[in-house]
Amino acid sequence: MNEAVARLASDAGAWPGLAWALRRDLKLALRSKAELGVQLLFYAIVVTLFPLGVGADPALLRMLGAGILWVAALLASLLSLPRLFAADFADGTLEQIALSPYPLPALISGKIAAHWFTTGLPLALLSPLLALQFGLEGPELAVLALGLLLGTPTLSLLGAVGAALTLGLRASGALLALLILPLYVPILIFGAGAVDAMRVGLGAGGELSVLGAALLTAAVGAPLAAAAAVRIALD
Amino acid sequence: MRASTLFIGHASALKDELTTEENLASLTSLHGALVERPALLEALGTWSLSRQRALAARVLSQGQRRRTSLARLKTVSRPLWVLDEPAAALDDAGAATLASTLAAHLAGGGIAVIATHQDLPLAAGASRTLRLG
Repeated sequence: MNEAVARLASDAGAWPGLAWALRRDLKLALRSKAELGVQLLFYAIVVTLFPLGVGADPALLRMLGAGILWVAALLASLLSLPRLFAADFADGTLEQIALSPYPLPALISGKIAAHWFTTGLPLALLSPLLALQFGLEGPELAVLALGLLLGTPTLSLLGAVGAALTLGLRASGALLALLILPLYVPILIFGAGAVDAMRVGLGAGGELSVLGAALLTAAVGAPLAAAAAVRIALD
Repeated sequence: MRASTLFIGHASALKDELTTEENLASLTSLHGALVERPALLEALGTWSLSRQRALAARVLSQGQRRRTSLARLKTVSRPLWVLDEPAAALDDAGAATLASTLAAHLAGGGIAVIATHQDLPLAAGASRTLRLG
C-alpha cells in the first residue's frame, strides 16, 4: 500500500508519542475544569480541617504544619489517580493507545506528565498560601513548595503504576490506596523532613536531593512498569 | 505488525469532550499518520459527518459515533484492517459507505478481517466467509 506512511508509522519515536498523550490529556482536562477544581478544593479543605481540629496553639501548628500539608498532598494525589486510565480503558482508547506504533511507555509518560500538570503542579503552587495558616515562614514556605514540586511528580509516577494495576477491578479505588500509600512513605518522610530541617535551622539540601533522586528513578522505571500493567489489563 | 494493522473494535475510542473533527485528528495522529486538515474534512464528508464536524462527541447518536470511528479508515493508511462489527448501528447509507470503502481498500491490494452479523455487500470473488456457530 502506501509505503511512505507505513515507514513513518514504524519509525514513530518516543518524543512524539509523549507529546501526543500530553497534549490530548491536557486538552481533555481543560474541557472538564470542574474535576480539576474538586481535587484542589479537597486539598485546601483537608489542610484547613487540622487547625480547626487540634486547636490554635501556634507552636503546635508550626510543628505539625509540614507533615499535614504533605499528608494532604498524598491524599489529593490519590483522589485523582483512578481517573488516569479508567476513562480511556472504558471507552476503548487505551486499546488504541496500546496498538499505536508509538512506544507504550512514552504514551504513558505523556499521560503521567499531563496528570502532574493538572494535579501536582497547582497543588504545589497553592501550598505556600495554605501553609501560612500553620505559621510557617519565608524560607520554610520556599522549601515546602520546592519539595512538593520535586515530590508530586514522583507521586504521579508511582500512582500510575498502581492505577494501571487496578484497572478494571471492582473497588479499585480502595485497592489503589492500599497498594500505593506505602510506596508514598519515603516521599512523605523526606518531603516533610525538608521543611522540618529548615524550621530547626539545618538546611534542606540533603532531603531535597533525595526527592530529586527519587523523581529521576521513578521517571525511568514507573512508565515501563505502568506500560506492562496496562498490557496485562488489556489481555 | 502494529505499524501495518488498523484495528477498530466495538468500543468507539471517542472522547465525549472533543468534537468530531478533534476526535478523528487525535486518533489519526495516535496511529502515527500525518494529520492534514483537508484529508480530515474529506473523510468526514465521505461519512456524512460534515455537519457534525464541530459538535462534541457527547451529543452524537450511536450511528454518528460509529461513523466517526470508521472515518479513520480514510485518514490512516494500513494494509491490514481488523474490524469488529463495523456495521453495527449504521443506517443503509452508512453501510453503503462502509462497503465502498472496503471495496476501494481491497482493490488497492489491502486485506480486511471483519467479524460481523450483517451481510456486507462485497464482491463475491474478493471475500471469503467463515461462519461460526
